[in-house]
Amino acid sequence: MTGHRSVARFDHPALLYRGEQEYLAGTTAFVRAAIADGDPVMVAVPGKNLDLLKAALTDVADRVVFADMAVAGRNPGRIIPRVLLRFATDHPGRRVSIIGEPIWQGRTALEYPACAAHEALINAAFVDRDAAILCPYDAERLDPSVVEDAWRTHPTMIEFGGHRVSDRYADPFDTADTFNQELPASPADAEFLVYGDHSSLAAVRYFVRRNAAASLSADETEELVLAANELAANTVEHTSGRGRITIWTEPGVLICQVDDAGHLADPLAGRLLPPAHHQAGYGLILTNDLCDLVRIHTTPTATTIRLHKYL
Amino acid sequence: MSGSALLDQVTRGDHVCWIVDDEAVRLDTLAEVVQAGLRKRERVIYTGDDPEGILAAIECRGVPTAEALAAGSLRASTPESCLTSGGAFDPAVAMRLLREESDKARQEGFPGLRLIADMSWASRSVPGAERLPGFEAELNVLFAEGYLLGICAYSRRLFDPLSLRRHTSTHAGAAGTDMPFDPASALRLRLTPPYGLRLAGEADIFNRQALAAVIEHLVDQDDGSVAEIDVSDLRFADTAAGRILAQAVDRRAGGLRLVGASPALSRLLDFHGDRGALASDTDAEADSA
Repeated sequence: MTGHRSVARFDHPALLYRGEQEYLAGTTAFVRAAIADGDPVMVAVPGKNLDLLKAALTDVADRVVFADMAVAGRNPGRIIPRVLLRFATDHPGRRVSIIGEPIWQGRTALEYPACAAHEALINAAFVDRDAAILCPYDAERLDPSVVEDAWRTHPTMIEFGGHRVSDRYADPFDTADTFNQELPASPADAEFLVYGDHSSLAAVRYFVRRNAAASLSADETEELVLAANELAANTVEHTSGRGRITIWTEPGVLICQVDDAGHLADPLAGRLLPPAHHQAGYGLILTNDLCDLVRIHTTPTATTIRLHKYL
Repeated sequence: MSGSALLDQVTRGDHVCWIVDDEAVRLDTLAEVVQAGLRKRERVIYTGDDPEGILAAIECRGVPTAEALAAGSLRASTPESCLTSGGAFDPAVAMRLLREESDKARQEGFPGLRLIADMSWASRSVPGAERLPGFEAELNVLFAEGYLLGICAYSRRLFDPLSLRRHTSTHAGAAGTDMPFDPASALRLRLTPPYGLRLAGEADIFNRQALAAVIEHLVDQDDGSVAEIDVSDLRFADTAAGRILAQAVDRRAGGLRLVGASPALSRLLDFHGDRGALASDTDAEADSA
């Protein structure tokens, strides 16, 4: 039967699974129920689990859009705008069902706070939307604190085959704010540039180009130049003071950090596409697209944004 | 002349916002740009407060002003001469005056017309001054023809940082003390007859309105012709510049083509174009399913 619901409802359960059997049982039941309802379905999970699900869903493969979350959602900051909301807006007026698995064993300590903030903010980004997003968590292999966080970021939980309301679920913005954490200090000998006068964005671009070219390809360098330019432009447009850009490498990653006296007051900045007729508001979305990880620490008097390009 | 050389890279077609914060640098630079124009046999028009004082100051710095004035290659006037009889700023009147001057200089055989304007008047309570940014942006179309060269001097003492930034973005390039005009990082817009435009340099928030105005002009030229924007020398475009270009291509639906986009610019164009494209692709899939 085809579901025609008059009231939009957002469901965001976490599936705490132990082993392949539980994973497949929980996820395929979700997909098959959505297909039975006539809903568009997307499966966005990381590589190995994607292969498992593709194999288990061959009979309905033409009804499901598959995406490798380790690629499409490598940067957790782009999962909402580029994976989840994109699929929803591609199906206007319809309830969509998505399996989104943003957290897996290989996520680094640096990535995790951005992943958890993302999970919390899904609840805000999808409020009033007609959608179901199931987030599988590997309860056997993930750190217990990660599973604990899933109880805070999901209103409902599925465990041992049963559904229940999470008693720890809290306001998504408050929860996301607990992951708005101070970043480790940049190396004392890192190259930096202070900017903030008219036309100094050209100097910022020159600085990034000069310091990134040794580690990145020409195209990747220009991606980082563009991302850094958008952040520095925000400093110039939205603060009265100067900014500082610092760049250095750590094993496997090039890091470019922008510090200014602004406040990124909207936790959803960079996650929601502006309405089509808006000419501004694309900078942070693009930054999320161009980088492998974006970490933000913002307070009313200072903001640090760290861009990561994996080497 | 001290040789501050802030503006010695400016060429015909450029429209530069010059942020002034030092009187000695101002007079040295004025002398340099007037001298450079005279050497290139361009007509040089200066408008600003106290034109006699300025002429005397640059004469002291070695510019043969008396000779140039007598030959008609140099003219100097107060800004009031460009305002309406009622003392208001009217973009239509100013644009007409500018076109007349430009036509006259061409007829008299000058290879270019160099305009140097002290914009201090705009900080006073001149009726209509709020229309200046829109006018300055529109002017870029005229400059892009490649005959005029414009240097607009805004004093940091008279304009607050916010309005300076707004004025800067209506110009294709900028310069200031210790920050010479750099052709590589400025935006260069040149119309290529009959229907084309060549972009070079870098497009960012500091020249956004200039780019938008010239692109708007191309989009409005919707007469069935196919216009081409050569972006092969556009070294950098920020997300807003990419959006301006992507939307122009969309709006002219086949009547506007970008040539020579770098991988970075192509990516930006996809970024701004893909929401509509993806939505329609998926709808088609869903319909056939």
